[in-house]
Amino acid sequence: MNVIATLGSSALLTALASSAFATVAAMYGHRVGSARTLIAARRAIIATAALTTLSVLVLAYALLSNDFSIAHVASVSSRDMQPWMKWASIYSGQPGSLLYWTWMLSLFLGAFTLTTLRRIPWGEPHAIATMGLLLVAFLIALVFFASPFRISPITPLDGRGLNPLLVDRGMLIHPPALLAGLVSTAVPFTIGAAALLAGRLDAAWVRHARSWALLSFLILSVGNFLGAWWAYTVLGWGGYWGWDPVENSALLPLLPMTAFLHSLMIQERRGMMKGWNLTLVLAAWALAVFGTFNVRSGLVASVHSFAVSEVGPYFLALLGLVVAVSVVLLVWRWPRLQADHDFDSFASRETGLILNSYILIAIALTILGGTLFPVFSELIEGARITVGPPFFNDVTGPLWIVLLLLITLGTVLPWRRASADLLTRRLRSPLIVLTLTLVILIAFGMHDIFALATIGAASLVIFVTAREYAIGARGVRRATGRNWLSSAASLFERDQRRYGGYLVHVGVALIAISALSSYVFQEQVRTVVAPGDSFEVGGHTIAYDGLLQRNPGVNGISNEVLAQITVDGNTVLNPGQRFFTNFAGQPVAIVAIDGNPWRDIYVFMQGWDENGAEIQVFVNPLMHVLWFGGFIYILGGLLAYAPARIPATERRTASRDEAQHA
Amino acid sequence: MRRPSLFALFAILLVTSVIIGFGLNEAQAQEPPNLDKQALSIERQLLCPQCTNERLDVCAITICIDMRREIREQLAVGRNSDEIIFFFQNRYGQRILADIPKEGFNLFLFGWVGASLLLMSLGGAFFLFKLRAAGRAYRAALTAAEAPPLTVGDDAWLDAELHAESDNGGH
Repeated sequence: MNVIATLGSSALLTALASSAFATVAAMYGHRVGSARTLIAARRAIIATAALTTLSVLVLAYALLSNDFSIAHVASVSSRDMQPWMKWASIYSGQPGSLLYWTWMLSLFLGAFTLTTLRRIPWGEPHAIATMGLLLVAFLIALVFFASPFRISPITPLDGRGLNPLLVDRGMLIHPPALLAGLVSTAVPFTIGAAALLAGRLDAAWVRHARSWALLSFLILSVGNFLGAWWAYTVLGWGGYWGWDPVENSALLPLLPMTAFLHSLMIQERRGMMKGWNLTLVLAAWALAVFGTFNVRSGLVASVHSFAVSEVGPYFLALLGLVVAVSVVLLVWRWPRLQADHDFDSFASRETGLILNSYILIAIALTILGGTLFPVFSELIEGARITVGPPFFNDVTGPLWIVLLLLITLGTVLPWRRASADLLTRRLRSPLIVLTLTLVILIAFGMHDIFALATIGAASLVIFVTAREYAIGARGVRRATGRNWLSSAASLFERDQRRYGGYLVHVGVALIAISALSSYVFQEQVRTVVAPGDSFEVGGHTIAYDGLLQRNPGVNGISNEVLAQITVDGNTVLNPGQRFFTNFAGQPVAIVAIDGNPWRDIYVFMQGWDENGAEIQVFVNPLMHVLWFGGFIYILGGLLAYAPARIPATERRTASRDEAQHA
Repeated sequence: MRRPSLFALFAILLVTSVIIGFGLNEAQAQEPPNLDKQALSIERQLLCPQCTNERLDVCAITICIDMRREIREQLAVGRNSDEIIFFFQNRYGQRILADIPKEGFNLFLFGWVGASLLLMSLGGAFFLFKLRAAGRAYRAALTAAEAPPLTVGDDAWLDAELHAESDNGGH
């Protein structure tokens, strides 16, 4: 008997029992009004988190001790792997990723149980029952369909090793961040479901779901940025976002989550969008489950699927159940989800935020349709087709531009109603800035309508946001006599949600500018060069000096073939290919990048022989702006997330609301 | 009168620069197309028949190397890009087209996009109008004393600032 495998399996089985107990105890405790039963149910959720953590530790031990009698360990690791690389083995492969996913789910739900749950006494049993069911659903898949602790009939001397694409430092943070982001949507979902089940449909649930939704938004965004960075530096196709089904799945839950973060403000302030906000958090979770199903089932072929499996039908059933239950709950409570009849005018921030919600959901529906269409095409027509980047770029491109315009509008418009006079005053200088931007761009020879529209809209966002900061800082400066910098910084204390959110907008605008530039103005040259020869790309001289062999001797790498490239006579780059002992047919590109704020020179080697090498070079403009925009975006999110110094007035209002409804 | 004339100036600038911009573009477009660029532009419209979602121009497997050679050979004998793409589509099927053809069953995808946009815009407009009507009815039923002020919320101080700005320096 393998003690380690038995310990791991037992931990998972006990976790399953514990989460099932939580569900039953929560329902029973609620029915008979037993506070003690509810406490037991709450503790069972914490116990589930502890047990899944134990099973992850057990798996980590098995990986580190090279216990190849466990099938999963043998399939995703090998003796020559560096110990820190084995972290990636935990979440690679079907059982591993499912374990990681369930572990993260239990951690998020455990953290929620320890912090927020106590503050929503009205929905505690409902929330515990919901959490228990979610955990049961994933633990069943883990225990019965894809256990990472299954013993293989024969114990190999060495493991197969990690999937070549995963052998990269970026892989140590990108997949865990992304999976954690997808899982984190479970908390807002739980709060929303508890509100629906308990019938507590005022803004109370929104107040508690907000910080969790923001956290989820942040982790999902970090996961997506890291994914883009990984694709850019490892996949070797000169880009970072290819509208691949898995990329789309990772982006999809972020869209309703973003919409929710905006539209919840309308419910908090104006008592509108109650049903819509619930729909958004339920949809975000459904899309996260869809993403997992999509990645895990191999439903739509993808460059990122590292696992194809038999749990597909189970996940499909689970997804169907999540959607069906969500719809039933919403329909049941819909009569009580009417707005408080407090809408004044179309010329208001409310309208801007509502339209923003709609456009985000329109984008999500479009991406969902494009991602799933190949499946329908094959099922119904028997035709295998690909919905590639041109479709997504053409269809969502204009929608992203509209989104940028709506960000501008939402920033400029006041709550309730803007008078014609106010509108004119606030829109005058943005329009001047837009005109100036367009004039300058066109004068410099930019004639691409798509490029002009994107950069124009992005410049509007940056301008109106900068103006908000400037006006705010000036107000603080006049009132306190502090200097400009300290006044501007104090805005984040004064209203961190608002000014942090604005910073996210600036990040989005920068990303839009960079994405547009690298899409429209990318230069690409591929050529075969003999050693000693050189060629020109976008004004740069690329010289090829010959080949280089390297053998790192770790992580299953058999050897690396690298080209010696010199850019403009000074920067040396070594693009090439990496070969793996156990994955002979799967060499991985080694990309070399010479970057500065204006452009990246992105080089990789496609082929070689004794006469020369086939070198492909992309010149990608403004790539640093993309990563900088991502940094600003995350920084803004973090500032908005940091614990608030809540003004006394707001605290009073909040506690009064709670008291009225208690 | 100051504002309209300012806009007129910008409009004139804009129109002039559009003309200049397009003029420059025309001048650039005169370059003869070279074989490498043509081949790359075709490759970017095709996908690797074997890998998933990998563009032909960046794929490293043998079948793609052969396809790239074939493209150059066909270009050399004077075939145009549509003919070459059609040739590969016949050989490997529609799935190697990066851009999905807007025909046949595929139109359902575009129908879905159209329906989504229509749903969000019409449904959204309906909801907004309903909300406004309800808001009006609600306020009409209130007495003057009960009516909520048309507050500007967190922007009140901003408006004060802007007013101060236009009072002091604007005119």
